[in-house]
Amino acid sequence: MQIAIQISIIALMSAFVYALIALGFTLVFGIMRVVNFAHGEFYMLGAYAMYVLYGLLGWPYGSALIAGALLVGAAGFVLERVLFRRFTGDEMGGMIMSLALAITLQAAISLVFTVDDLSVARPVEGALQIGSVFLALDQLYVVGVTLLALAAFYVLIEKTRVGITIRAVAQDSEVARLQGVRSWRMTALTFALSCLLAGLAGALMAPVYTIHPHMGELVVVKAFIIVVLGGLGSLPGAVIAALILSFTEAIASTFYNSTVATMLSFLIVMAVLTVRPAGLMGRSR
Amino acid sequence: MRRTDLTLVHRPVGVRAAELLVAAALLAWPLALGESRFALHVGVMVALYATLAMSMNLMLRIGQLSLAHGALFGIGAYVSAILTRDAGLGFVSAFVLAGLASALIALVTAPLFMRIKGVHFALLTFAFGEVVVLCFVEFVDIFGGNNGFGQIPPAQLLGHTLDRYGSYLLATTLALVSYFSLQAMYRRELGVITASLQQDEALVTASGFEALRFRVAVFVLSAAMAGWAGSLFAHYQGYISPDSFGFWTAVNAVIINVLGGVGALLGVVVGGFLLIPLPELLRDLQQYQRFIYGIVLMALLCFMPKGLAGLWSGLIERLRVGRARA
Repeated sequence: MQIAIQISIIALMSAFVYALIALGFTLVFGIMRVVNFAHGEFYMLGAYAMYVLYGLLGWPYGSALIAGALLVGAAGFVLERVLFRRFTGDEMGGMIMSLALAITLQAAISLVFTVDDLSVARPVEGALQIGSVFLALDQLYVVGVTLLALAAFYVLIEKTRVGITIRAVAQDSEVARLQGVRSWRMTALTFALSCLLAGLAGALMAPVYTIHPHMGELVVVKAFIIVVLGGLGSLPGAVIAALILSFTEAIASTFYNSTVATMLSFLIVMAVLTVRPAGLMGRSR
Repeated sequence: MRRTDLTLVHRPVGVRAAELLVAAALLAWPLALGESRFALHVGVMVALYATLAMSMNLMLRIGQLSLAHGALFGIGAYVSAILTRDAGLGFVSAFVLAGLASALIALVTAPLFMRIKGVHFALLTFAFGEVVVLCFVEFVDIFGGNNGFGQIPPAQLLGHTLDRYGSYLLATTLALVSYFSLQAMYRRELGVITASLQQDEALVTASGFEALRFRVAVFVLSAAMAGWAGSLFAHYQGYISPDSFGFWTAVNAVIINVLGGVGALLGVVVGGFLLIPLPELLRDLQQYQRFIYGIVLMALLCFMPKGLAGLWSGLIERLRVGRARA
């Protein structure tokens, strides 16, 4: 019982963080038709922003978190304009550009901060004891903030005018344009939002794990598995798949070994792609 | 529609003679200029990765971006290494079997894979490539795991163990054979079919042509080329490890194609000549190497979307227009 609760807390933490990352990834695919292989690098940038603002400059944790996420979002906004807009309608071109961007960002960070592992102090220490179960406070913190961010994202996409416009462009950008939506604006906004979410996830995880230039690679693979399972472009699918993935992962790596767990998730991805390319909840075009 | 799209192209004799001359020069230069260890090493790498890039070119011609080619390259390498070191087979038979093994894997998976198109195909092959590499990591008894697979015997031909120049000759021969056979195929039915499938797949299939079977055949051929390149890679290096065969190996092959221009095979080879030596030449600037590489690549994608080949044909076009005006 004790083990089950502890595994669930870890699984929930990673599920929410994965969901933050995968939501941005799938949103960008839905609206721009770009598989953004550089998405993990924005997560990595968020972690380094946290290292600089909170670790080096000594800002308070909360403002460093928000500023870090906003900085990454702004970087995404600029990069969409400079690099990705010219590939509108060219899926392959956009994908190759994102690979080039991933190489460049990783190398740039390695140049500035070296390839060594860095770490950031935890915002809260200690553990909460409920009965015989210990819950690490910093992990609970991550769960809380990601839940808040996910709720905010849900409200933004489902309830606000901007969200409706974004969904309209994702559904059919031509019809949306006919209704007077300036779809390029929505594209820029979406890309920035997606990077902001990834940056927030990176900033949140910075104190939990170590920071290094290649930390995004593993994460983008997870996001990719989630997004394929849930269906490229589907938001509810991404959240459900994030939960499925992190629970199977937590269970499999507790009882078996992690290579087998990863291999299994890739085999599931292949099965889903061949049998039902639209994913569990995606719609085919 | 371009004029040359659906006609068999006969190239002037001069171009063919020039090609053969360059090929002969590539094989023979170490005899005239003296053998430089470094230049020969770079030469082997260029030849092997150019072959891999050409096999990727086959896939890109049918509009399928495969991220599994690093893994197919690796299957060739591991099969060849295991057959010679552990099973005691000779180099020649191991080499042949290595290409066939990659081709077999492709043949088994292709009927499923080739139904999937576009981004989904790229993602599917990405997952497949990762699974293969994880197999290399996980099954330590067979593949040596993350520590790699060492003591692979060097290539032997007619009882002679190949030295560095011999390896260079072998690798360059593989690249040249791939180049000339692909050129010949692109000029004949293969080129015609890919061009017509691109223009109107519905019409082509409606006239009774089995597009799926054709794509399967192309994938199998492409995998065999990757496997053979992998086999030579293993015997040349003497040591292989899973990280030579991951996602980035496939990406590099794609990038060479982007630089050279997918539409022109010669451009791809020139792209290999430009990109592969870069890491070897920039060794002193190691920490800047990947950064420069990434920046150059982004600039290329922005300003030269059709690659070197596009640049060349644009130049010719401009000259022609200038002459017509004069």
